[in-house]
Formats: sequence, structure tokens, C-alpha cells
Amino acid sequence: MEIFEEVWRLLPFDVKNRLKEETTLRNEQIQEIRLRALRPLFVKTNKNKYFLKDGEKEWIVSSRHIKEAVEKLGGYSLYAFEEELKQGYLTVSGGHRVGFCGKAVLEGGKVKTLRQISSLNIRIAGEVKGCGEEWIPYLFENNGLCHTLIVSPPGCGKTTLLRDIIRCLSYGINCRESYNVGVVDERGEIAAMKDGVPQMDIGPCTDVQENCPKAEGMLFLLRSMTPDIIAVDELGKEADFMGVEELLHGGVTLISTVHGNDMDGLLKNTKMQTMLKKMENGRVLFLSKRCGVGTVEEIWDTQGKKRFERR
Amino acid sequence: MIIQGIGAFLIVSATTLVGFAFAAKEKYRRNELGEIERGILLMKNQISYLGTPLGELLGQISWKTEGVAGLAFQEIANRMEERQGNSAEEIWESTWVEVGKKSYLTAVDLEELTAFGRTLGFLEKEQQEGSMDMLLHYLREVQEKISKRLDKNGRLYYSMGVLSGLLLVITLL
Repeated sequence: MEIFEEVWRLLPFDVKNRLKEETTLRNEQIQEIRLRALRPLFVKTNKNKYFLKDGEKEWIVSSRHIKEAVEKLGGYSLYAFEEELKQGYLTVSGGHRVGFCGKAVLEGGKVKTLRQISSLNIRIAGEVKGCGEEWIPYLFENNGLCHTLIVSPPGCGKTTLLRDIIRCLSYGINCRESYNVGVVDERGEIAAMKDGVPQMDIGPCTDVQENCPKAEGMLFLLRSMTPDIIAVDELGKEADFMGVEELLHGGVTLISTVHGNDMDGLLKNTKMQTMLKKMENGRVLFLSKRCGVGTVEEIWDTQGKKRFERR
Repeated sequence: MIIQGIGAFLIVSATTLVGFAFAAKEKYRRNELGEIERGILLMKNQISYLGTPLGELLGQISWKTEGVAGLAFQEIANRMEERQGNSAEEIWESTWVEVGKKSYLTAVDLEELTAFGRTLGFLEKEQQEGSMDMLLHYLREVQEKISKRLDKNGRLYYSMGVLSGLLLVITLL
């Protein structure tokens, strides 16, 4: 609830009051709030999806609400978040991610910033302690931790599972010893750092390099903190894979997430294929929402052998 | 005779004090404007070179500025951290209206500060810097005017106080 308080603080007063009034939401866990200009307020919970009503009519989000939300989310200082806006999202205190959609301002063919923001998607960061414990034994081979990739489409709980795996390895849960884990938290979603203190439980042996590009952050941690494991969220850019390559040569175990559906889809990506080849005896976990967010469907090793399959 | 003497002394002292107060009021206003100017300058540097968010930077500046400026910056920083307003403009304006009552700032000064608040929190740093430059220009100009006025009329205010007291005493006697 304390984590959710951060979100209340950042919402426009009208929206906050409307959400607090909604009795159906009281016993459910809000996962996503979407504000779209002149369209109904949308809420997704762990149980259902809702368009909030105002009596018989739908509760409409005005342009003013969007403007207020953007101001509050950006700490009334959007100039300080230009880089994040270019990417189309912002991570706010508590590790919650806010996606923006609007009119792109281009400079030299590249997005300089966003104007006339028309849609906001607030994704509430969820900490599900214990969701990774069951899968820790699958990540070991002859008592050695394997490189691990967590794969799923958006919204299936990759970051949540990654965070809990980090916590387990840092505490030494379901493994022989505890490990020094270095986390590159580029968007502040894994550890949700506030004034240098993680707001999520990521274990006692975890060091966080926040707000740093993944490739640079991985090498920085490798040099500075001598970690056993380096964890990063959402590999995707060319530079990320180059950083991973250096890391694999450095003898550190990598745990990461990536967008994808299945092994076939993953192998169609040449960068991914090369990386998987280099990850000798690695593990690939595929998630879905079939039995709720964070359902582990399959675990493969990088030799092409299926280690687990949900029936 | 003694009572008349005491009365005359009290009248002259009172009018002299009024003269002093008149000059002091201008001095205090100038000092307050000076502190605000210092704060805005610090703010400009922090925004231009470090891109620090407003809440954080105003909190830092409040420790480096005195009087009403320090108070206002601290209050704005607190309200921003707590997200107590729907916009930066709203927080900036309401704070200055409240704090302004306890200050020597005039309605025009407060109007200029409020106008500046309307540009706070915008995306472009250049636009932000432009509006800060405008406010700085106003603050410097007013301080200069007050200084000139004090140089020119400062003694006049004291003399007027003393002389009006003497005039009153003579008339009454």
C-alpha cells in the first residue's frame, strides 16, 4: 500500500478522488491506469478491466487532467526529464513506469521530445516476493549458476520475476550460497531507488547502478564491484548486446529479460541468436499470463533441451 | 513645563521614527528583492547545467537565501515534493501570495513573480532561462531604482521626520 501511495500522490486530484471512490477497486490490485484525453478513465486490476463510470455515463478524462498528470509525474520540471520523454516513458518514485503518447517533435530526423501529450499509461510496479524461489534450482547446472534470460510479451511479469530472482540469489534462497549481484537499473524499475536506498527488496548483497545505459552500466559494475552476477532488464539495443558480449568474456553470470514469445521467435533475431550461442548452457524462461501474470510456461537450456514445461 | 518638554520630545521622536521607518521600508524591500535575485540566479545555473528538478533545487536554494525568499523557496519545495498542487504555477503563485503578506514586496513585485511562475516547469530549458532572465532584469532594475531613491531621498525622509515633529510641537505650543 505504501508503494501505491506514491501513485496517489502523482495523480491529478479529480482522478485520484474518482479512483478512491470506486468501491469495486478496493479489494483488487490495480496494475495499470490509463488516461486518454476526452476518453474514459481505464483501470486494469489483477482481476478485471474497467472503464470508470460517472453515474450512467463514462467518467471522461479531460485534457486538463492529462496536463496536470504530466506536470505532477514530471515533478513540475519536465525539462529535467527530456531524455526520458524522448524514449516515451518515465519511471517515477516507487519504480512505477509511466508511458507517454503525443506529438513527436523531430530534430534531424530523430525524436527531440514529445508535445501535446494525449495518452498516459501508468503501470504500477508490483513486488511479488517469492515468485522466483521455485525457479532458482532450474538456473543451476553442476552447482554453477547459468546465464539466464527471461522472455515474454509486455506485461507478463518479467521485471517482477527478475527482481525476485535477484533477491533469492542475493539472500542465497534455494541455492548453496549467497551471491554478489550487480544490477544495472537503467529505468529505475528493478530496485526503485530513492535517495540511494532501494524501495524494493533486492537482497543484502546487491549493488545498484541506476539511471545508466545498460552497456556502460554492466562494464562499470564489472570493473568496480566484482559481482558474481549482473542483472539487467530488457535487452534490445545493439549496444546492449555488445555490452553483454564483453560481460560473457568477463566470466560473470548474466540474468536478463527480453521481449519475445517463444524460442522460434527469439531465434529469428540474429543478435539474440548470437548471444544465445555464446551463453553456453544458459537458461531461457518463457512467461505468459495463462494462469495469471508471471506464469512460467517453459524453461529451455541454450543447447535446445526443454527443462520444464507447464501442462 | 517639564510635561510640555517630555511631550515635545515624544512627538519629535515619533515623527523621526516615522521618517526612519519610511526609509527602512524601502531598504528592506531592496534586500528582499536582492535575495530573490540571488535565488533565481542559483536556480538558473542549476536548471541550465544540471537539469535539477524544481522541488529539489528550490529546497537547496532555500538554505542559501535569507528572509522571505528563503521561506518562500522552502515552502514551494515542500509543496512540490508533496505534489500539493496540480501545477507548478499554482504552487508558486499561492505560496508567494501567502508569503508576500509578510514581506515588504509591493503588489507589482508580486505580480512579476506570479507572471514568472506561469512559465515554470516547461519542457525547454531555453524558454525557462528566458523567463528567468526577464525576472532578473526586473529585480535588478527595481533594486537600482530603490538605491537611487534612497541615495537621493534617504536623508530627506529623516529630516522630514524631524522637521514635521518640530512643526507639530511649535504649532501645539
